[in-house]
Amino acid sequence: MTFSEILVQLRGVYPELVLSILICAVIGLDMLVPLRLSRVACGLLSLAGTSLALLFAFVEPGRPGMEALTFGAAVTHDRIAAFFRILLLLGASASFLFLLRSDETVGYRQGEYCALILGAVLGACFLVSSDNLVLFVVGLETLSLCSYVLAGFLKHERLSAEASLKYVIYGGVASGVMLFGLSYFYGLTGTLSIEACARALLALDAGGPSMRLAAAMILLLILAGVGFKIAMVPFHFWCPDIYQGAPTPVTAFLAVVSKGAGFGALLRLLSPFFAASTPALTTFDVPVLFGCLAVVTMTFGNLVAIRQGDVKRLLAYSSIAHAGYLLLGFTVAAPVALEAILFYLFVYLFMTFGAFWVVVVLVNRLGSSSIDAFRGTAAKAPFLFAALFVCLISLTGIPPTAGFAGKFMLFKLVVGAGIDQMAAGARPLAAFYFFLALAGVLNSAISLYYYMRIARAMVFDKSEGETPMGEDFFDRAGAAVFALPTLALLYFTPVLDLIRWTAR
Amino acid sequence: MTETILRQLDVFLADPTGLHTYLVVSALLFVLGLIACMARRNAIGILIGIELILNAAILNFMVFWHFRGGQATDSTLAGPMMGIFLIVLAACEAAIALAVLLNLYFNFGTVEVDSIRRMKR
Repeated sequence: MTFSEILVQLRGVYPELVLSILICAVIGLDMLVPLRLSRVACGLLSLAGTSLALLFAFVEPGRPGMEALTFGAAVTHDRIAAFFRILLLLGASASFLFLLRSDETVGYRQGEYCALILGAVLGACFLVSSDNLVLFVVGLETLSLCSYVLAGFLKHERLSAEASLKYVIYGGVASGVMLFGLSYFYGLTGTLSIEACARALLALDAGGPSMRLAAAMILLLILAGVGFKIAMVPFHFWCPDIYQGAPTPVTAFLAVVSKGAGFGALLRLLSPFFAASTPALTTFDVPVLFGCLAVVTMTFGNLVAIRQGDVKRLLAYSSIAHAGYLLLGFTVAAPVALEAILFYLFVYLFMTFGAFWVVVVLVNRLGSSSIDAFRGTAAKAPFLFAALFVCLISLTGIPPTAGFAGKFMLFKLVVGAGIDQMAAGARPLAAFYFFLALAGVLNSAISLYYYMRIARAMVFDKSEGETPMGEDFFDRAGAAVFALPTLALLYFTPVLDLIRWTAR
Repeated sequence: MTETILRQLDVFLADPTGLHTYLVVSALLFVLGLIACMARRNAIGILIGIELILNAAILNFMVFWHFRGGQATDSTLAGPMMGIFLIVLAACEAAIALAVLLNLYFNFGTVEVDSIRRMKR
């Protein structure tokens, strides 16, 4: 292979290349600057570098047809890859804003923190654009291993140490189980190409009852690994403890980037399911399986969130519930379902980061993330409260916010599928779809209660004694960066344009 | 139950080095690993369980590749390639997990998972 051939290969992976160089640069820079400048220097360099990678993701997203050129067809350039690269890199940039704001990680060398975040995002980018099981597994493990260390970043804090222990054990078992499933995946199909494997898997059902059983087992084993990443019931056990114990910027990262990458992986494995014409594949009961998982996940998340006293823990259950809403999109085998899922993930990024931003500032000032500590802070930080309020009603799905548009699309999709089934004469399936939509709406109503509990504590409850609360320019600017898109994206056409642009 | 075991034995005796034998071994490794993860209260024990699960997966990849014709039908060496990558990943995972456990021991003075429970359930 000549040098120019290697250069041609690298054309499809410019963002990943930038991230790789950035990891080395940030570690090098951290050795040169004194400890007190470490956060600003490393944070700004990583922010700038990630923005550059984001720019490359737009300018050179890789064209369909370039696949054969990139690492022996291991990297693909379809719409899922293009969209998720943008989403993940946006999330990574936001994570560095969190790092620059949060006081929790002060006192530690920040070069490590930046390198770990960048490593996780690098793994996630390869994960979502892989068409080869080797790259898929390596990407997933790179993301996971960096996340384990990030969760335990505050190594002198007991909660953080406990969080990383639980994460590494649950994560290790989940990925081990998934790998075991993938080995049968390979055994039955004889290829490592995910696209070919997935097609074969979804068609296995034609091979009689024993093949059908094998296909179901494989799907279940693989779901253990991917479901762990997206915090889907029954693989959610790690979520609340890790969200509570990890430093808040890491929690925000896990809630958005790690979960987003998990959905990318799931879409990657099921991509034939969403292709334009796949009538034969729908017989595998994928809609029913994911419908049940969606309802269980969102109901569990919302019901348990009601009685949480810690905001980070509450947001963990809320993020479980949101995984449930997103899983609704997996019940319909159509390209339009893919659009609804991608749009919701995009909106989810802004509203979740917005909520976590305010939590980071409050934890900085108050030193605690329990709801009781937040009492009476609205009057002292009105701008932050307004931003949090916007994000919370968006998470609930009330207009005029982007969360409403996202939920509307998902529910409309499910109801539309129900009407189609009704017209086709499949009454039980139609009833199932209507039940899914109803469950989604009811769950949104439940979630309003616990989101508003936070707002009520901040506005109406009186704080005991003086709270050292206030807001400065950086606090407000950050809150605006996340809250304004949450409002503005109610006008969703630009995002849909972006999603369609990635399809090209 | 007895009948199933006898049938497995028949298959084994008919072809002791066949695909079937290896698949049973890897399934046993997987189940033992899973049991270790669930039953062990010591974090090191759980870690060993995870390694067993990973080894079951690696064995499967190698075996499937071999019995699908090996190098004669697949010149890209898909199975061994996956196996080698998984060995490296297992080593990485063990390194990270041991670092986490060491840090845990500094903080709590133990690696028994039952005694490490600060957060409310």
